[in-house]
Amino acid sequence: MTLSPGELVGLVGPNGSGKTSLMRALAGTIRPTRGRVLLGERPLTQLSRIQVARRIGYLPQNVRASFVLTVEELVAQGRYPHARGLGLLGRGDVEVIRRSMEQTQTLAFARRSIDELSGGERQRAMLASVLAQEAPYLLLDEPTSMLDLQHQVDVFDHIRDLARRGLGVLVITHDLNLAASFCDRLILLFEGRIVAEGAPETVMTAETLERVYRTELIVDRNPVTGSPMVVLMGRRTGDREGN
Amino acid sequence: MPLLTLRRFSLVCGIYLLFALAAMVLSSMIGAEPIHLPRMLAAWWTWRAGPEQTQAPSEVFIFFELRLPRILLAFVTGAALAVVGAVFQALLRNPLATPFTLGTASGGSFGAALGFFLPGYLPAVAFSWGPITHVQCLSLAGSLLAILMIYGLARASGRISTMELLLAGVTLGMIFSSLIMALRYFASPHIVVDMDRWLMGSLNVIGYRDLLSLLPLLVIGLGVLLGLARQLDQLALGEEMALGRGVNVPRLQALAFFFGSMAVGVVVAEAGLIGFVGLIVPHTVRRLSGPDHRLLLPCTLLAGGGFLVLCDTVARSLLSPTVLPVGIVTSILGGPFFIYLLVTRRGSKRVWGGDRLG
Repeated sequence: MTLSPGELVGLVGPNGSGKTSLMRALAGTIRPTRGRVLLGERPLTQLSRIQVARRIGYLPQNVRASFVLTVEELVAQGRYPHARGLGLLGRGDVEVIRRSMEQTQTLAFARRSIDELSGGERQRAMLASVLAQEAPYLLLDEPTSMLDLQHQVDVFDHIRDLARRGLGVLVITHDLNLAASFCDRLILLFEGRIVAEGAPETVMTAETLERVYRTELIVDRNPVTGSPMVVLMGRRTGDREGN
Repeated sequence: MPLLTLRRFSLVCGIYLLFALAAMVLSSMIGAEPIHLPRMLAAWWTWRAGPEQTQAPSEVFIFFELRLPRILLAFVTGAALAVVGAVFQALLRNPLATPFTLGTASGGSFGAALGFFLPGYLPAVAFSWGPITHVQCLSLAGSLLAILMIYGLARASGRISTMELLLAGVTLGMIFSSLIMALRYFASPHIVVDMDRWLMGSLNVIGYRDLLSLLPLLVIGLGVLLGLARQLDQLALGEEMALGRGVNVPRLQALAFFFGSMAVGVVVAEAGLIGFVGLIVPHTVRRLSGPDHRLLLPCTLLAGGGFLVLCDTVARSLLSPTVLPVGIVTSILGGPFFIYLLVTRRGSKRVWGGDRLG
């Protein structure tokens, strides 16, 4: 698989299909047992951790801070791969921090502490923190889990916007419909392998999805956006066969 | 908290420095023998300028040979325990992690108790190399052994939870305590008295010999820990996030565990078990000036040192001329204060995040 600048790619698949492991290997936080990850021309393993962090911003799933930080402090932490010495912030850093908050519309509550924020605001603050790394590629592991509908759409809007600005973004999500309407491409994982890859229309066929998710479903078309849309039929195929 | 600028850093550190200095000055004047500082300094000056080989005035002797070394020992001990507490808390992302809950302090005290016990049976064990004694070496070995076990557990079993790690640390502490009990049971009475006095925490020193012997390792240990501040900040968002940001987490853990327990082992060997400093000082400083480790660690160092100096002042003067073990005072003074902090936590600013580990 590849990830290019300016595209938003959705990584989907059932629980345990290896989405998070794949993303961790791409981020360099684990070593793949087989295969290798190339960043540009060079294997990831040849780069130092700091070098990787300057090129790849990675937001793991369910990140929680052990201390109560303000949004601004959280975003400032994203400057770590660029900081030197004591790590006191220079003027350039402050500018990047401000811009990251601006792009995610978190500037308005920069001084609030992150545990006072709503789920959506919190995820945007996390996103801003990763953005402050100024990396051209972003890897986001379920940035919309635990969010209600409105905030899911809100976060995806912001992610879409980042891709439009030229970042290459890979995002894991469980919501196929959301992925279909926002992503340029989808990668479907099943039992550790890529079973389908390409435009949402080609990946999201009823046949493929029924096999992978073992659920009876139909794939319709979103009446507004025209992107494919999954409708669940509510009964597992396995149950029916058993009867 | 606003972002950390050089200005804020110097301002906040300056305040803590003033606290530490004030504690030292105050402590130097109070005691069984009250010292009038200007008069003592004047006496010292005339004595220095006077003919050689005259006896120093008693006030001068008490100040320079008894009180000042004691204050300095209290300061470095408090500073080390507090900084290591702050670092362990960041490392395990748990507010209960301290040199005591992780078993390092108990390991160190077992080593030291062994140092008191063994020479009775094996005189060859007792040695001293310059100012470094076998008690110190055994204490250092004990605390490193304890942290090696904890670290081994943490890394070997893969995803051991923080809670389990703390549980293991507490258990290790109990094992070491029982071993100390066993030593006490078999040791002859006069050695038991020595051991107990030391275990309760004592800052009895004369002159600077002991202080100098612990300083090199302590400076190295604390220096390394302070240098890890930025990486510890990254760890606040979890291991995975820190890895993604470019922090070498396994190396960070190894360095912090090793140098942290080294610093603890060194001070425990000299001053015995002094509880609570490693728990309450970091928590209090975090509440006062925020969780940023670049600021937290130096401030904790100053506050921890100052706090123990004050506790020791109380220990020396409360039942003067009897000197209470300082470990009793830290817990009796610090305990209620800490519970007060916990109770008032609701409503006021919380420091530890919504992260409920375990």
